[in-house]
Order: sequence, then structure tokens, then C-alpha cells
Amino acid sequence: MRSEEDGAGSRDCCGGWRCEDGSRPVRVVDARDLISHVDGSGRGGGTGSIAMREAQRRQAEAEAAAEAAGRGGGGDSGGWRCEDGSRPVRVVDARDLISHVDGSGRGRGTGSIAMREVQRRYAEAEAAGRGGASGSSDSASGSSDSAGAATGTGGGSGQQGHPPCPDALAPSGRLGSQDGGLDKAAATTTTTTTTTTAAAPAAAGSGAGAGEGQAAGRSVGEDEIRRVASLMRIDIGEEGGDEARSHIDKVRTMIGYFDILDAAGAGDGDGDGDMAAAAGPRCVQIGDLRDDEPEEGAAERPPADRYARVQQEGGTYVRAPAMSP
Amino acid sequence: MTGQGGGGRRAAAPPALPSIRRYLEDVGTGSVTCAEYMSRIRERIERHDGELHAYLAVSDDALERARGVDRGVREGRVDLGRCLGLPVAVKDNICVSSMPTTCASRMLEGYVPPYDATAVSRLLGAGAIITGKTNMDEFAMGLTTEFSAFGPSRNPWDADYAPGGSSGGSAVAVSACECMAALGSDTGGSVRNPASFCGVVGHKPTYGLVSRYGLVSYSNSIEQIGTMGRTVEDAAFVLGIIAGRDPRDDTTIGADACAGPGAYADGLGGGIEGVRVGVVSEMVDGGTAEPDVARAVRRAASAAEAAGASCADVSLGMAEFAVAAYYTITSAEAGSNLARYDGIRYGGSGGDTDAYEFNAYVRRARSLLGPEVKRRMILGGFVPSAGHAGRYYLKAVGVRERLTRQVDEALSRVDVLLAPTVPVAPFRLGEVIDDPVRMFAADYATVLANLTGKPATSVPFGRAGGPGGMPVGVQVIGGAMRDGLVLRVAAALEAAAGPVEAPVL
Repeated sequence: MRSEEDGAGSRDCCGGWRCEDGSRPVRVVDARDLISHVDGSGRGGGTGSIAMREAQRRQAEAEAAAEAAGRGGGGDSGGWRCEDGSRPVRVVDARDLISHVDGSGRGRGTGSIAMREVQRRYAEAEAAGRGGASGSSDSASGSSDSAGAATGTGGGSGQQGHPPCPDALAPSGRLGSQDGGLDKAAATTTTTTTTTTAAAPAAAGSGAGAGEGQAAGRSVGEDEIRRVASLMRIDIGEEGGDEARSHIDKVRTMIGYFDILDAAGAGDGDGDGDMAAAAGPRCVQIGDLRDDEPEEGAAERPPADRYARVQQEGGTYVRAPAMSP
Repeated sequence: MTGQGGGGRRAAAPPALPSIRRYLEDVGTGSVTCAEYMSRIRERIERHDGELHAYLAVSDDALERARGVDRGVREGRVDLGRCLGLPVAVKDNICVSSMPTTCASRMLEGYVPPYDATAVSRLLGAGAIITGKTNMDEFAMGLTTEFSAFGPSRNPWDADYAPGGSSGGSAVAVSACECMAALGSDTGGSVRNPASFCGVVGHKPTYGLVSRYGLVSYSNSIEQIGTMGRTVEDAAFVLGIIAGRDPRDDTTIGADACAGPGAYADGLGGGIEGVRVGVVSEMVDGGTAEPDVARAVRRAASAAEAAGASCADVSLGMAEFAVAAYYTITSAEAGSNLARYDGIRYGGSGGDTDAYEFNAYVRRARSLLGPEVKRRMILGGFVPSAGHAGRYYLKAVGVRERLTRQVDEALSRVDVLLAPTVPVAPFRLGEVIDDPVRMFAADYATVLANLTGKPATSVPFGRAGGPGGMPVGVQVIGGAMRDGLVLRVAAALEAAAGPVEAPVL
């Protein structure tokens, strides 16, 4: 888990935000926020003065950094900004999310986790007064997990929402129900609708969040399924037909089911050591390779002969199709 | 679809065919000839397979070969091999050079491979006789055989019920005594699931123990050829024949030290005194398994304790994500593997071949694929694609890694894991075919062994709803290359479960 590798201390000091290049992120704080805090506390002006000075210093720092980066002071990451202007990445500990789940039913937990996370971010964005409309990277990177899953109760505005993670889809692995049978509710076929919910601010401002995160933050639409089918040269039937509807609904249900992988805490594929090791090639020293053990007689038999043997023994021949000019 | 088979629960009785051990004694001494056994099997196929549909193709020359074995026995020949004409059925995605290999798909209808799979050539080399090719879900994608392009198989215990899958035909053939043993392939439980539904034993070996050369590829990093028999000893005997390193499959591992004709079957009587058994709590408690199934696992744990083992609950937190990871990975691999069926290099053309633009030609050829295969291919094109890989495929690979670590850690504290084979009792034909998530659910307990490469055996342990109900299986999972121990524990459970039974047809 990323948080374990990073160490809790470093994570906490930046509220969970971390620069992509490992440098220290800087909190972009509005000085007026601090002033209001001080005023509200009713405590002495001394503290207020220190806070004020610190706030002013940070504000100036942030503005300078923003200027250097050629952007406004938009709080696109909930107020955090990398020193070098690069995009900060939210470091979320899966256990933090899990702790939000109430103990009543893990089957419904996924939705709750995601929903609360989205609500928290929405509130954060609103409090920062900078809105998600320009908050691109926040929604794209950090929320690809949670916003996506959350759209069990909604979806991103302007884009299709995630298929509702039906309970089932979400078995949080819980594939059965307490009464012992398969959870038939789990089988609810999901048809995605586009509704605006708390996730909207995060998803809406996806201007800079194209690519992986953006794709992850929305559902798989019919067009996309048709496009993939076309690339695979698979005919799924006429648009609007029963066959096509059946294929698309089932594919969407299956993909929706895969959304529970978000809750596995297996990372997002970027820089996760486990996955890099698992998905990448295995490195074996040449000296450790075993000797070739060729098929007996293979060396003497020319490849053409072997091919001819296959063709003839199959009993049929294949004609090449006519090609386009 | 229900009712077409003239279903109804069948009574249980001792199997119409003996164990492999008894068969070898009979044929070896000449008290019963190989031809007599083969005739009996052919008779059963002719009488019952019209309804059960276990076979897609039956060998023409099996009886003649059996007579050849008998001649050899009479002449005292020593080159007859250890199997002495043992009649074995082979799943239709494993190549046998003299028979069609269709993978239950129109795409490969009429295809006769020019070579034998290594597992088959080892069986033939040991003197076995292939009785035929068994029905399955198309390209092994499914768990009821309803996705077979040639019609579903039916459960011999009740023809209204699914036999499980994807190696459903093999399980039916074993259960209905239409062969002595069978080969299947296990990608996500395709040997163990039908074994559980049909009340027979199914073993999925350690990944790499059995060569996949000649197995039509579906998900290379996960699938294995497995064995099925009416008893643990039968399944272990066949495993001993087919296991071992193969230069044609570089994923096979140096199992020669433990493989060998009697390597697995001979060690079954050693008992399980002192063996530590861990019951996977996530798969038993909390409603993940139907009550009858959960009770069967708990009774199996008690039986293991009575036989001298110690039992404790084991938690595998990542297990709940295993099914999603499994389908993501297998879809990605299937999308790649099945892309070869373009009607040019592999597979049929779907009609005349003239005057088609290339893409249209391939699309036309792929119309021969069934609906589930098409869907898995679409998924396989989607989950590893740019823009989605991080969300699906890479996460699934990460889950697989973590699950493997978790299972390894658990297996450092216990010797074997005990779990249901399928968390639900057998279902009726047509009951789940339109519901992909319910189908996923049935794989919940089996994919664990596939994702982690571990050996696992399903052994019948009671009936759902008591005597007269449909069979329920429990599953023993062990560490890599500990197939012998897994089978030994399964044999102990088999002994505790009572006499081996088969449906009265």
C-alpha cells in the first residue's frame, strides 16, 4: 500500500497530498480563511498576528508559484500545489476509506465509502471557494477510484456516470446474502443514467484530467462498447436490436462488477511496485536459463514440410479472402 | 430449457463401473477383459448419452483397441503400459489427433488436429484408450455447459439441472459411468465446479505440473489440465500419468521427482494425522455460501479433526476481490488468444470466402463465435486498453499478487485450506445463464487456486438438503507442488463422507 511505503509522518504533514516528483507540496491558503479562524476563536491577537504573517507569507509564496507556472491561483487540488508547479497526487490510504464503512454490511460499503469521499471533496472544493469547475487534476487523479464507484448513485455531469455498482456488483466481494442464497439483487442489470450529484464538481472539471483518470471516472457507454467490438471485428447486432441490447447490458454489468477492484487497495497502476513487478517481464539471467530441449527430429524437418503436414492432415484448405484495393 | 430432459431426482447406488485399481486388477488378470469394459461403456453411452449429452464425439476404434489390449495381456506382452486400455474421456479443448477438437464452438466445427496434446500422448503412451471428446462451454467460457454451441449437457443426478462447467461433459461422463476417468481443463474452477455438481472428484494441479501443450488456449497464465474420477484415487492415478515436465511447454516445472505413474495415488493411504487444516472463513461464514454448503464444509472440518488433523479458521481478506480480478485477467488473455480465429489462419470462414473486404471477412468469420465468447473478447479488448488498464487490468494483477502473498502466508501457518467448491448448490439449466453476476458468484471459491497457481481438489461431501438432494463438494487447497498432500486430505474426507455413489440411470 502506498501509504505504508511513504510513511505516515510524511503523509500527514501534507494532509495526504504528495507531489508526483516527490517534492514537498505547498498548501495554498487564503489568508482570509486564517483571519476568520482567529477571529472566531476569540483568542488573542498574538496568535492571530503570527497566523496572519504566516498566511500572508504562504499566500505570497503560492501566488508567486502560480505565476511561475503560468496559471491562476486556482485551487485545483483542494489548495495544495507542488513547489515546482507539477500536479499533486492525493495519497489516500485505503484503510482510511474503509474506516468510513459502517459495520452493517460490507455489501453496501463500497457505495458509502465512495459517496462520503466525494462529498468530502465537494465540501473541500466549495470551502476553498475555487470550485471544481477548474479543478481538473483533483478529479482526474484522486477521484478516479471513489468518484467512479460513487456513481452508483449518480454520475459525472456532462459525461456518463458509472454504472451503479449494484450491491452485487459490489459484493465487496460479498456474493451471497445472509439467507444463504445468491444475492439476486446483485444481479440487477445496470443501465447507466446521467445524473448530477455531489460528484459533479469533481467530474465536471476534468479539463486537464484527460487520459487514464478521466476514462476511469466515467462509465462505459454503449458507443464505447461498440467501438471496442468493432476493433475486435465482432458483430454484436444491429443498434437497438435485442441481440445488441443483450450484449451491451451484459458487458456493462460485467465491467460494472469489476469496479469493486477499486476497493481492493491495489493502487491505480501508476508506480505501484506490486503491479509493475507483476505486469512487467520477469528478468532472468542468461546463465539461469535452462538448456534448449528441442523436439526430437525437429531440426531435420524443414518448416515448410511441417506446415504442409498441418494443412494436409487438417483435411481442408483455407482460401485467402479478397482484399480491398 | 428445464424439463426437456425428462428430469427428476435419481436414486444413488454404487457406481456401475469399479475403481481404476479394480479395473487394472481385472484386466491384468484377465478376469474381466478390457473389451468387456469398453463394451459396457459404449452401451451406456448409447443408452444414456442422448439425454445427458456428455460426449461431442465418440471414438470409432476404442473397442478394437481394447481387443488389442486383451490380446497383449493374453500374450504376456510387457509393453502394454500401466493403464491397460483404461477408457478415458477427454474434454473437447484438448487435442487428440484422431478426433475432432471443436471447443464446443461452430468456429472449429470439423477441425481435426494433426497432433496429440502432451497429456493425451502420455495417456496413450501408458496404454489408455480415449473414449471420446466431451462437451463443454464454448472455449471453456462458462460454468454450466449451456454455452456449448452443440447444446448443453445435463446433470445425471437430475437432468433438469446443470452439470456445472466448463468441463461439464467430462464430469457427466464420469458420474454416469460413461468412462473410467476424464480430463478437463480448469481456468477458474472448470474441473472442480462440475465435479462438485455431479458428485465426482476433480483435481486442479499446481500451475505448471501438467503440460498445456495441445490445450486450446483461453487464459494461458491461469489454466491447467486437470483430472476427474469417481474417487480421489482415480483422479490421482491419472494425474500421475500426465504430470511432469514437457519441453513443448516452457511453463511446466521440474516435477519429475514427484511425478510418476503411482506418485499421487500410492500416497493416499498415509492418513492426515497432524495435518493442519485452515477453514477459509470468508468462504463459509457471513452468508457467502448457502447454508447447506457451509454446513458441508464445517462437517468436513470435523471429519478431518476426527481423522487426526487440527483445524482452525483462516482469513483471506483479498479473496473477495478474486472473482473480479480473475475475470479481468482472463478476459484480457482471452481477447488476445481468441483473436487468432479470423477464418484465415484459424477457424472457419462463416460461409463463402469471395468478394469480402478483409475486415468484413474476419467479422463474418467471427460470427461463428457464440455470445459469451464474443462478450469475453469485447471485455478483453476493453480492460487492458489505454485509458482503462490502470482501472481494471493493472488493479487485477495487483490483486492477484496480493492474494498470492496472502495465501502463501496462510499456507505457512496451515498445511491445506478447506473451502466450499461452489458456494451454492447445483442450479437448474437456464437459471443463471442470463445473469453474469450470478455466474461470477459461483466461481467465488474456485478462482482462488487458479489465480495463485495452487493445487486444489473437489471431493463430494454430502447433499444439499440431505439425502436425495443434489451433490455438494468441498475443496482442499494446498501449497504449490503439494498436490500429493491435497489429494491425501481429500481422500481422508472421501472416506469420512461414506461410500462412493453414482446416480441410477
